[in-house]
Amino acid sequence: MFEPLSVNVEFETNRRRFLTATLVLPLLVLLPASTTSASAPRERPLRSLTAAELRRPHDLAG
Amino acid sequence: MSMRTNDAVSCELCPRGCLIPEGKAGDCRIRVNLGGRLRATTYGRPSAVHIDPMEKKPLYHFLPGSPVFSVATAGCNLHCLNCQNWQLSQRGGEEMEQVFRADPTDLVAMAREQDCRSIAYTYSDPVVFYEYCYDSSVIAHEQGLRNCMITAAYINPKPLRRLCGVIDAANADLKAFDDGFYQRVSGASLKPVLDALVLMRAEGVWLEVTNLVIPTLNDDLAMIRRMARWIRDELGPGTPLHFSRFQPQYRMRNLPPTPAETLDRARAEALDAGLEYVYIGNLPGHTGGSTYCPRDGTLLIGRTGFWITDYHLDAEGRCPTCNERIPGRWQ
Repeated sequence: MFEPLSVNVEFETNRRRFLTATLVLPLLVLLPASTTSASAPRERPLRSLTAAELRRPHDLAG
Repeated sequence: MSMRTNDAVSCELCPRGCLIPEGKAGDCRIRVNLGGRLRATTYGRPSAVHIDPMEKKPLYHFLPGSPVFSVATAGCNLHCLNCQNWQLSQRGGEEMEQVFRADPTDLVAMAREQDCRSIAYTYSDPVVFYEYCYDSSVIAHEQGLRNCMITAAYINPKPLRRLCGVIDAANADLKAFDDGFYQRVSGASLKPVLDALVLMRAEGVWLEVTNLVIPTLNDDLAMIRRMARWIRDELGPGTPLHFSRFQPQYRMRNLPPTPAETLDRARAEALDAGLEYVYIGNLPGHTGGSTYCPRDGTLLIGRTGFWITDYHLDAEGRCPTCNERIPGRWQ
């Protein structure tokens, strides 16, 4: 009589593990990377710009 | 340029007059209240640095054909729906993918090394990186360089007057001769802009004006006529006016590019109103991009896009045919 219940418990446990593995873990890996690029601009000294880079055509108006 | 009220600081730089709480930024995103003092977070941190032809600014009567060291930081105090440089102007410094470290001394040294005779504070609006622009301009003058700014001229008289002391030339955007347009499209107002243009002229800054003509929004010829007359009366008939072609951008992609005929009609209207130097921009190959003598029609400076194809002025900026003195800063 209890057999079906234990099967359900096992299924639920597996389902949680599956969801954790497929959804949560990738998010944990991806989130820090995207947060870093949004909050920390890539800084470089002006001196590192070459003459060719300075004269390269660009899309900015003005 | 700020006044403290309890923990908040009132920014007095532009007509917005932002009241900025501790730790927060003003409407421009970059002027921040830190411990009761306003700081420009992008000082010494430009996000765009290029060498452009002067014609790109556009400044057609100022050191024509010369390369200009062009600099901007993130941020702007206007939020135009059609902004052409929104990736730069509608962001704070911390949101930029790339930032350069360059204090004013670095900036001027680099401009000189690259054989530029001038520095342009441009792309976004130098009003919001005012201190960086001012300090760099002082050093540039000390080292024999000229300074120009490309601006929407949405700035209060007191800081503008100080800035005019170190700025040699400006191209100011006059977006429309209609306060409703300023409010709807740019989130600003017209009167402070007009006052700023008059002040720049009075302070001896070489001034050119740009009007971006947007189909259905500011292409009414009667309004263009009123604007041209105002420029003639308040800034002088020798003030160059650039009608620039709109391209669908940013949050205004629902309108088409400005037809060439609209720009032709606007130019004819402004010439008829008495302006002597009226140009058409963003339309490469159009004859309206060249300079003609207002007295005898001689071609003085021929241009294709940003490039000079003919140059017939003498060293003092005189027409070779009739000797008419053409206003500008030619050397």
